[in-house]
Amino acid sequence: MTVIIRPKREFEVCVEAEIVPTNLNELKSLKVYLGKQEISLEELFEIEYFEDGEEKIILRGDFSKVKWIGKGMKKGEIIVEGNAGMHLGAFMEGGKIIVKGNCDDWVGGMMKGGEIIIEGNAGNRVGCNYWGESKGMEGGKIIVKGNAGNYIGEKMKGGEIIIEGNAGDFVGSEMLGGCITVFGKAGYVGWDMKKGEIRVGECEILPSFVKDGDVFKGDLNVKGEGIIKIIKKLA
Amino acid sequence: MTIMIKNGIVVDPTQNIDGEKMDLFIKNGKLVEESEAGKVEKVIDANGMTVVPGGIDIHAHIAGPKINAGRSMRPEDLKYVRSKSNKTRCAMGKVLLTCPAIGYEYAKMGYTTAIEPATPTIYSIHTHEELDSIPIVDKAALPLFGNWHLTFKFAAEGDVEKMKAFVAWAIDKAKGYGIKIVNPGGVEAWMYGKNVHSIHELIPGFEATPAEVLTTLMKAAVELNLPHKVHVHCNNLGVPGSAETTAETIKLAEKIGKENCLHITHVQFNSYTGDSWKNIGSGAEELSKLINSSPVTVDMGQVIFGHTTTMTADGPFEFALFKLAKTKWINKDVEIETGGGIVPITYRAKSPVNAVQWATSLEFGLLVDPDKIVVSTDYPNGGPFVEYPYIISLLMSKKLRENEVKEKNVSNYIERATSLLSLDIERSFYDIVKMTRSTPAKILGLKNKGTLRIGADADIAIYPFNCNEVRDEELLKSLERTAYTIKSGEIVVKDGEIVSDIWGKTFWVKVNSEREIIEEELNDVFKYYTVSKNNYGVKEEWIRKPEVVKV
Ligand SMILES: [Zn+2]
Repeated sequence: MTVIIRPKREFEVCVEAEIVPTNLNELKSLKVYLGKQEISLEELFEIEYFEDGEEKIILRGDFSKVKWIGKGMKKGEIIVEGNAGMHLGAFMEGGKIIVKGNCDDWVGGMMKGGEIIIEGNAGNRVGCNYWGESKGMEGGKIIVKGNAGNYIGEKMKGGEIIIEGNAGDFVGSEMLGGCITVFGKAGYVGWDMKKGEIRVGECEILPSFVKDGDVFKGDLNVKGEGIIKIIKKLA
Repeated sequence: MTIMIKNGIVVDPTQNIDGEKMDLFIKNGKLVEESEAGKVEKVIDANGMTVVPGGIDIHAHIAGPKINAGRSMRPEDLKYVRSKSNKTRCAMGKVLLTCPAIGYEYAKMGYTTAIEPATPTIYSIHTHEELDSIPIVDKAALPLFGNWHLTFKFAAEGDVEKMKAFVAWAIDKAKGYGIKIVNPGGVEAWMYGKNVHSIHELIPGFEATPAEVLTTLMKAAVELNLPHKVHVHCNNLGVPGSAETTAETIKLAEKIGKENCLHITHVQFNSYTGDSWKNIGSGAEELSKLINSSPVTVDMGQVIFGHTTTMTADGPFEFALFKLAKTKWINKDVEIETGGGIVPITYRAKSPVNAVQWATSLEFGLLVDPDKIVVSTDYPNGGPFVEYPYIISLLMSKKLRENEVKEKNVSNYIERATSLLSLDIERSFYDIVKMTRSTPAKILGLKNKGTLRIGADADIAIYPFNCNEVRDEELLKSLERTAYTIKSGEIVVKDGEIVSDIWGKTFWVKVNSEREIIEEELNDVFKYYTVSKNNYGVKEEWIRKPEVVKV
């Protein structure tokens, strides 16, 4: 079944809607929040569907104020045809999310598995830990075809993040494992990183990293064994 | 509203009532005789249900700068949503609950009074702001005296009169309820990176020992006739060998000889034998005997397996814990009054040390006279207070204790290091009502609480089970949520859900004493303080519902 979901109107405040592929009844009656008001998904959105043997949701229209799309998702596919709001794919465990437009902050926060592809730009804190938590992303894959903001993969423990454009400061800070690739430019990378690998086209190297062959190792401040590798920029 | 509670099975140790079917009448927030009640507007059918006074938490860090710093240090804890805003306010937090969550969770499990036990006097304004944001329950705060320079000075001089004046002044400024003292002298020593390790050791910079400080404070509290005397967190807390320090501290109270002159809080944390973490053991058996034959009272300080956040004025202890736990740490130095530390930790059933802690507090709960011990977790140090039903169920059933050891895989080190598994004692529900109601009321000197006597506050919990037919399997569920909680004569909980959001009172003690004799010393302190003497403290009119207790 493919379900097409469209906002019935323009939202003046944020909507929290944990939309994941599931059966139609559950989707329709899914409790969402419009600001502080509790309401069902079908009251806010037009829901259409057709049987095609797939397990797919298409979000059509402006979803830039809709948060938590695909939260904790385990299987199936979500395609966001425009922009998406914060926390897309947070705590995701499996399946696939494709966003054709841009994404707000916290894409794939603490995700454990599955795949997220952002064709536009992503905001800050891609694949990060939530405030106070000891681990960020632990598995799965996030690909951002455009640019991303600051704090990419903070405390990341596993999985892979690929930014095809540029990223901001603090890529892979306090990283514990996994791999981050930024094909373009980034600011400071890898502070307090313990393990894992950061590959980047161009960046500032902190003084607490030492050159070891063609890579940099650190962060020495935390006796880290992380690796920073300068790679060829994408043409 | 006039309420009749009909056919309930009543338990009230203050009147020697143990599971008798009777009716209660409530009018204007108080329990009244049937003849005084007049027209009954609401009848609660309590047939088959147990009716007891509202619970009293004698020691829970529910308000003030520490708990708030703890919350900002552990934002991940606030992901746990207890209830969303609708009828009531939004309530969050698994271990470090938000203010609304604290009030609601107490009420849902039948508790109606809670005491914040450690407030730096200078920050008491913050404490009262937060207490004022906790719905439903009545509350009070204990200001910290232990590491005030003036406390040490007057103790060194052995000047009980000046100590009395100082206690009266500080309680008035804090709008506090009694005397709290944490690791006497140790927090002062911590300002130089040290600690004190015996109650007979001199405090750095002062000619006084912790023993002299405690003794002078107890004398002052007794002479001032405070409703709640000295509430102490002992020296050497949390380390092997601390049982000896606790025993010595109990002896100080024996010398004073006055009933309830000293309350040793979260006694579990201070009752270990051995001289290293490798041979740590429980001192509960010996200490329980001492406690039962002395004027001191205690609360358990039960450890709950799982995550929590420790927070105490005991700065050096928190630093030691930080080095063991290797997590986050906050250290705080509060002018010349006190200090503090915060460290998140996890108690693991498989850890021999944590298992000993868990077992030691239960031993105390089983061995100490129920007129002398109160159920507590030292919230949030041992764990969240919402676990009280769990603790009670373990105290009431040997089978549940054995199941717990099996299910949680509790380290078998406790077989050697504690007596828990050999104890056949099972607390009766009557004893539990003492340990959660009448005993804390007596220790706190709250005459209208912890009882269902005519004239008492109508703070009542009605549990959905018959206490005369207790079944182990149903115990926990029966105690977790009340069928009704009534606070000051209003129904606040029905079938485990909050139905009415009201504000409780804040008790504070007004002490008559001559302040003039310490005027010079106080002026001297405030010459160097960040706040002027006139701007120091909390005014009664700033508190939402103050309730003064005059002595
Ligand atoms: Zn405490």
